[in-house]
Amino acid sequence: MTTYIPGIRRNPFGVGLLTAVLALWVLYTPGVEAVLRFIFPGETRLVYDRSPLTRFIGEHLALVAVGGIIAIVLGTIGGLIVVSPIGRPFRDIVLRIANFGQSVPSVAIMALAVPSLGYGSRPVLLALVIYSILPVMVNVVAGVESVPRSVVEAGRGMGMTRTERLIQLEMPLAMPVIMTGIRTMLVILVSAATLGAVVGAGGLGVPIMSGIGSFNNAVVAYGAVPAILLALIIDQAL
Amino acid sequence: MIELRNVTKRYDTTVAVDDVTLTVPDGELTILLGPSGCGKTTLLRTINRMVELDAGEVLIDGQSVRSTPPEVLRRHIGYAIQSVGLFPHMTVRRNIGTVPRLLGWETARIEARVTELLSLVGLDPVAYADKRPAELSGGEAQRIGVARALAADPPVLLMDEPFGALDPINRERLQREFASLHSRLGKTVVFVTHDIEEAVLLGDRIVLMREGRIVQTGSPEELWRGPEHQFVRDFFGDEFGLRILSRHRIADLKPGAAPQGASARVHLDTNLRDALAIMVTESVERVSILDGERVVGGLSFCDIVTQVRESL
Ligand SMILES: Nc1ncnc2c1ncn2[C@@H]1O[C@H](COP(=O)(O)OP(=O)(O)O)[C@@H](O)[C@H]1O
Ligand SMILES: [Mg+2]
Repeated sequence: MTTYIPGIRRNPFGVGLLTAVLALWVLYTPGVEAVLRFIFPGETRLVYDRSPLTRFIGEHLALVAVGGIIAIVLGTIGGLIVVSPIGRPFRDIVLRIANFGQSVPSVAIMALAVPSLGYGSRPVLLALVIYSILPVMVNVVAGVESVPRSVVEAGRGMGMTRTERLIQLEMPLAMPVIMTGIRTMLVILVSAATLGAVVGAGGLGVPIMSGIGSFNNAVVAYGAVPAILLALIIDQAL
Repeated sequence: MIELRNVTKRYDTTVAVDDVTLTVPDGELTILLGPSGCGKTTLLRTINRMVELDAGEVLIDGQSVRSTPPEVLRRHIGYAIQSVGLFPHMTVRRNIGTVPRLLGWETARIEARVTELLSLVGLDPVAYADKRPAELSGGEAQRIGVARALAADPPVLLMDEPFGALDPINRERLQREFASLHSRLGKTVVFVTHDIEEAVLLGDRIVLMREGRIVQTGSPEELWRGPEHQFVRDFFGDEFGLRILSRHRIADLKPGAAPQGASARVHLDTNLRDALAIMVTESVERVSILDGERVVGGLSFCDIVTQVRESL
């Protein structure tokens, strides 16, 4: 018997705890300063004070959400096309191109995109999407291809159309594998989105870059900790 | 009635089915039998258009299967396969309800049908409806597979080695249950197997195939009494006669006189193979026949052998 593994290791307790810590970090600056003062006793400037952290985390989340949704939509469509009878001949070449996309550093993509797309969030989103389509697409392909042939054949024999087989059999059975890809992709996105600061798209990269520029590790940590928390929350919530 | 006329299917260089003509009568259980790779599965799947023909035609009740879109056709033909193909993410209830759902039945009607079918295949509806396939034994999964194929009450049932993956004990139990199910439901069944014992036990008719062609068609008794090719004899082997015996009961024979004094006993519904085994075990040449507690006659070893040859 084929065993069905839901493959999702959600951790509601961990998510709750991490979210509480993140909320405290973002909203209660005096507490954050106390922590940072304890860790970096030598620093005079402990936090980035030209804008509140809520703004940066908002921008960051927006970049991740928009980039993630575009990548999920395009990656899923792409994956489904290459496992369909029409797209199957292109399966290998498409996966290779997507792999290439991921191997190009996102900074390079942004640098190349700025002349045509200008500064701001658009070059970042382009880089993030190119960067994160692969994990989604690869996992859609792997997930659909992992569905037992006997299951799909039985569906066909009982009179399911191709679409019914896809929606009722292949997608739900591929879902655990697809979710693994989406989780990986979002975690990558959270860290890649910090580069948004380079081309003026904001996000948690702003305090991090500022800290790096002034050799101030406290300010780096001020922006990096919430990014790490965000990545951990996404990883455990999905 | 299913008619296959000059059906041919090629894959590249192999001719999987080679100009086969066959009529499957209504209400009978027809077995497609033959060595692995002889084209049984391919032939079966031409009936519900899972395999499209290179030549010939398939008619169900006089109508070409090509006149109906494949999905519509398949929803009206039951289909069960060896690996079961139960949907692992769905409950037993949803699995069985698949075709009724595709046909747009109302929920209450589907629910009632699921309950009915679970009872029919010998499983407690309350205990099983909400289980997932991973929680079932092989035999249970196979029963659900049969129930699912029967869900929309199709007149025709296609089965491809449905009991092939079971251990011998479960397989025999399911075969017997299926035989009795078939005699109650009267469906037209086309059943693929490479297992001679299964074919002889279940088949009203056996279609013996080799290399994409039909070698001989007939009831198991006809094939046994009148093999038209050496291949038929070789394929069924020396035990063919014994297997034929297990298809019939004492009640099917004309009883002779009861033996005098104490003797080994058989019941009217004992099958002939078991009766023979009792004679061998008890070292007797004649047994008494019981109807309940009453002796109604006797049978000798010779009676069995001659009557089976001549009158069954
Ligand atoms: N989809 C296919 N592609 C190529 N060859 C096939 C395909 N299906 C069956 N065959 C070939 O056709 C022949 C008959 O196969 P099949 O009908 O599955 O035999 P059986 O069910 O009797 O074991 C075999 O030689 C098999 O290799
Ligand atoms: Mg086969």
